[in-house]
Amino acid sequence: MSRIKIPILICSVIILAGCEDLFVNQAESNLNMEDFEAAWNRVDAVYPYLDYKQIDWDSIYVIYKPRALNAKGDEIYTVLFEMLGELKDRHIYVKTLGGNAINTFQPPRWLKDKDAYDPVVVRDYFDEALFVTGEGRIEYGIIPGNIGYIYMATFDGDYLLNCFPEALNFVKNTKGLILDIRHNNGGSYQNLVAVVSRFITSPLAKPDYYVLGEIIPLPPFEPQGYFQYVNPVIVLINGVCYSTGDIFPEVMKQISTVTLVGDTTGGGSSGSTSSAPAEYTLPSGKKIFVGTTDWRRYDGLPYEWIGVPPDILVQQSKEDIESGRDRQLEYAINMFKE
Amino acid sequence: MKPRSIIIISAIVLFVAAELTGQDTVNFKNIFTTGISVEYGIGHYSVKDEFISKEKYTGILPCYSIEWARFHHKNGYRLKFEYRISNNIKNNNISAEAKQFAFNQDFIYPVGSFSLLTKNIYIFLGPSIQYFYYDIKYDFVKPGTFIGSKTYGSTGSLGLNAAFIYQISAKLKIDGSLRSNLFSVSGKVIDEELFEETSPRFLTFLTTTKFDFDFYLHYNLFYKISVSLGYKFDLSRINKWNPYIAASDNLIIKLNYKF
Repeated sequence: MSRIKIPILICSVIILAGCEDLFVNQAESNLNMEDFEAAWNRVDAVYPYLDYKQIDWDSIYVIYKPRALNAKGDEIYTVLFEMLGELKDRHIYVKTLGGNAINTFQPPRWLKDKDAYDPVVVRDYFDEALFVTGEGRIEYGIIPGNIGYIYMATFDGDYLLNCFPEALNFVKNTKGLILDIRHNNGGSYQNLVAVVSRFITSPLAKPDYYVLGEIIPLPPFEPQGYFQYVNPVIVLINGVCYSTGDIFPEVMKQISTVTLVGDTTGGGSSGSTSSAPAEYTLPSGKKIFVGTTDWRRYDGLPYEWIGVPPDILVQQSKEDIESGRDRQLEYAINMFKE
Repeated sequence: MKPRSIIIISAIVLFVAAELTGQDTVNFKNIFTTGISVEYGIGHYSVKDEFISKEKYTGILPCYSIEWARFHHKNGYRLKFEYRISNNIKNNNISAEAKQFAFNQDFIYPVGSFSLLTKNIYIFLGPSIQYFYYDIKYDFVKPGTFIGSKTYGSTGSLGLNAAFIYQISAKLKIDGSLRSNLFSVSGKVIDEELFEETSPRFLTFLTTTKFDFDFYLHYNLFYKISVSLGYKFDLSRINKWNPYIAASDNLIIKLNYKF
């Protein structure tokens, strides 16, 4: 009997091999070419920096169209990433069907500084534990010598609107304040307004702002809050400060009491607004984000690629952090102690 | 199926399994493969996670597992940990790294035996606890560019297992088992803005499925060492949010040390 049973077993294995194909089906069709055309057209229609970056977008079409035609299945993702990557803009992303946003570019200064900051190292410069608010996004305390310190991890959401006053109130009697925005990737403009308005004593003009090429008049920043912090302020920046993380130091730099210390910000200034959303749905359901707005520095140049340079350049490396040193913070502390 | 129905069915199965009359527990105990086993398998694997796309990725996914089984006087239990990884799961020229691990704890009760071609087939049934995790990293752009995409999910389940053993001779037997969840707590990465129901959720096997079955040709090499060659089919599925489904056929070789 065993001579029969063993072949039965082997035959069963052969029959069952391939079961997985019955359960996981191939996609019936795709809209790869339609996605490619829509993405190219979207950039052509709304992206503000084609001229500034001297990108011949028509030639990009000629290069990438054959690749899109030949793309099978998910190969279209590679075509979209690489085509949009030609714009070298970290704001631009491709979103998968389920909403996983994947950036198409990382700025060189971002890559240089991504390991050159660590909040754990910062905490070692304090005698007591830092206070935390804003769901962990704000840390504040007082460094020996009566120097205030506030770290703002992001401009996302509305937490600075609600929680920044608490942190500023804690340091209101210090002789100087370090505002640390290193590794701040940006967020909403309302948070920027909430912070800037606490350091000005008179209206401050806003830098130029364009939507789809049209300049949008903006009212000036106005002093807000129940007190203004008028003692010297040092804003710490690095290459991972991006988007609103570029705009904030540029605005703060206009205030006479403020000095920027650290390294040049990442440099990204295309964005989105409710009247011209940057996120755009492709025919397949994938989405792309291509900026429709254009923020400018006070000198009229976009932040894109060039960022905001510090008043005092203090570079910092991964090795500094690994050895437990924060040279940028040390420089700021010493400025107040001198 | 409603959770209450599942609980009632599970309770009936457990009651029947534990109390069935006429069980020859000595035979069941002797025939059951106990001890520690290590397995290596190689199998064809297909996966689709619509968090990323509707495209199917396929490839060879090796399987490594370790199992510990023991049979007391009336019942047995089994712990099994399985790990699988491959960085060569492909959709056309796009590759992905698929990784998954599973932990199963099976409680095994003899339920009866019947004769087939002059030999007895012994049947076992019992509840199972399962945990399963997967993640898939997609290399849409060449590595090192900091551009990548990832999806992941996990399932913790209560379910059932069933097994049979067909003793052909003193040294040779065929054994097989199947295992399925009944209800689970399942979660996966989603864009929460797109769905009203957050992840994870309590789901029945109609929505989340974790199912596998296998059968082996088992040969005793000498007193405590045996070797098995077999086939295993595995299905995991979370048909909620952006659906995920993966299935694999595997050829398995297993080495067992009995104690």
